[in-house]
Amino acid sequence: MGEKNEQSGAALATFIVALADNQGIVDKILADANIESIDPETWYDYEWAVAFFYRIERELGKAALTEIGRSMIESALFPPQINSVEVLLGSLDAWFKLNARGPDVGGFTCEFEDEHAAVIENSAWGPCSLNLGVIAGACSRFGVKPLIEHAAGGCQDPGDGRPSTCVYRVSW
Amino acid sequence: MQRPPLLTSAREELIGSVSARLARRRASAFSSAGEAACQALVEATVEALERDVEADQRSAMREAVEAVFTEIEPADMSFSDLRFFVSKLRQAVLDAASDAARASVEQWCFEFFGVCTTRFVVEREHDLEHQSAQRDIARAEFQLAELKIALADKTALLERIREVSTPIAPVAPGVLLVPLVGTFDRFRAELLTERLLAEISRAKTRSVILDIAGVPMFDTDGAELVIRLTRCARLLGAQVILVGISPQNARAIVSLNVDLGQLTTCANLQEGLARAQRR
Repeated sequence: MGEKNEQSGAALATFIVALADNQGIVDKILADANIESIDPETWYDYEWAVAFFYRIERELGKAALTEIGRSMIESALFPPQINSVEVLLGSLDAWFKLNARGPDVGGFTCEFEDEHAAVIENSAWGPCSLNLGVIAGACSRFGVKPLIEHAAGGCQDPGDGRPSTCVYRVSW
Repeated sequence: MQRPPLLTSAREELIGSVSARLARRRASAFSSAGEAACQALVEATVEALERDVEADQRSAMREAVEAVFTEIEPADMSFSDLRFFVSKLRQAVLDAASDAARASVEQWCFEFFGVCTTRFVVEREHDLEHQSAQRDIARAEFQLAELKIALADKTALLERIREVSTPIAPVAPGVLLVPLVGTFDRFRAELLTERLLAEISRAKTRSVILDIAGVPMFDTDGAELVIRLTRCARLLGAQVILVGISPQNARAIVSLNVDLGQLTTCANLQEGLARAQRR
C-alpha cells in the first residue's frame, strides 16, 4: 500500500461518463485543476477527487450525485460469484478498494441483521449522497428496491471533504 | 396492582427481553435512548395492549403511540427501527398470549403499527418542512447580507460622487471657488450649502465665486437655491459672486421672474476673481 491516498482514474472516468449531460461543468472543474482529461490508467490525489465530488454535488445537487453513484455501480463489472444483494453489499468494501488506495481512504463494512436487513458503515471520504446511490445501485442490480435510512444520529457528512462515517440501515 | 389475565405469567420476562433486545440493536434510536427508555416504552405499549384487548377497544393505543415518539428521540428513529420494535414486540406478545387472545393481539399490533407508521410519516414531513424552512432562512439571510454589502458599496460611491460633484477650492486668501457641473437640484444645493457655510466659517472667507458655466439649465428652484445660499453666506460675512452665466441661462433666469438684486454677477471667472480680491 502506498503512502498517499489516491483515487483511480477508472472510477473518476466512470463518474464523468455519468455526468455526460453536464459536460460543461466537468470541463470547467478539470480546467481549474489544469487537467485536460481523466486517464483511466492513472491514480489521482484522493483529496482532489473528493473535492471534485463535492463540487459536483454543490453544482448539481444531492439527488444528481445519488443517481451518479447508482449508475457507477450498476455499470461496474463484477465476477459471477457476486450473485445476490447480500453478496454484493458484503463486497462493497472490496469494490471500493479497487477504486481507492492509500492508508486512510476509509471503506465500507456490512453487517447483516437478518435476511432482508443490513447495517452498512461507510467511512469512505466523499459525499454521503454518492454513497447512498452506490448502495441503492448495488441493490437495484438484483431488482431490489431497498429502504436506505441513516442510523441514529443521522447524516454525519460535514459537506466539506473532511472524513466522516455514516451508518445506514438498509432493508429490502 | 392486579394484572389483567392476558400476559400475567410472562409479562415481566417479556418486557425485560424485548427491552434488552431493543437496547442492543446497533446504531439504532433504541441503543441511543438506552435500556431504561426502552423498558419504559415496552411497558407502556404492553400496558396499552392489555387494556385495549381486555376492553375490546383502542383508547389506550393513542398513549402507546405517543410513548414511541416521546421515549425515543423521533429524529433518531428510522422506519427500520419502528418496524423492528413492533415486530419484536408482536412476536414476544404472541408467544406469551393465550390461544384465545392471539387474534386480538395480532389485530392490535397490526393497527398499532399502522398508526405508528402514519405518525412516523407526519414526524418526517415535519422534519423536512423544518429543514426546508431553515434553508429558506439561510438563503434569505445570505441575500440580506449581500444586499447590505451592495448598499454599503453604493452609499460609499454616492458619497464619493457627492464630494466630487460639489468641489470647494480656495483660489486666493479669503476666496473660495465653487464650480458647478451638471444639474443643480435641491439635493445638491442643500449639500453645497451645508459644506460651503462650514468652509466659509472655517477659512474666514470674504468671497465665494459660484461658477455655473457647467450647469446646462437653470430653473426656478435652482435660482432660488442660489439666492438662499447667497443670503446665508452674507450672514457669515461673505459675498457670493455668480460667474459663467451662459446666454441660455441668462434668458432662463430672467424669464423665471426671480429677484436677482441680491446677486453679484461677473462675465467670467477672471473678472469674478479680480472682483473678489478687490474686496
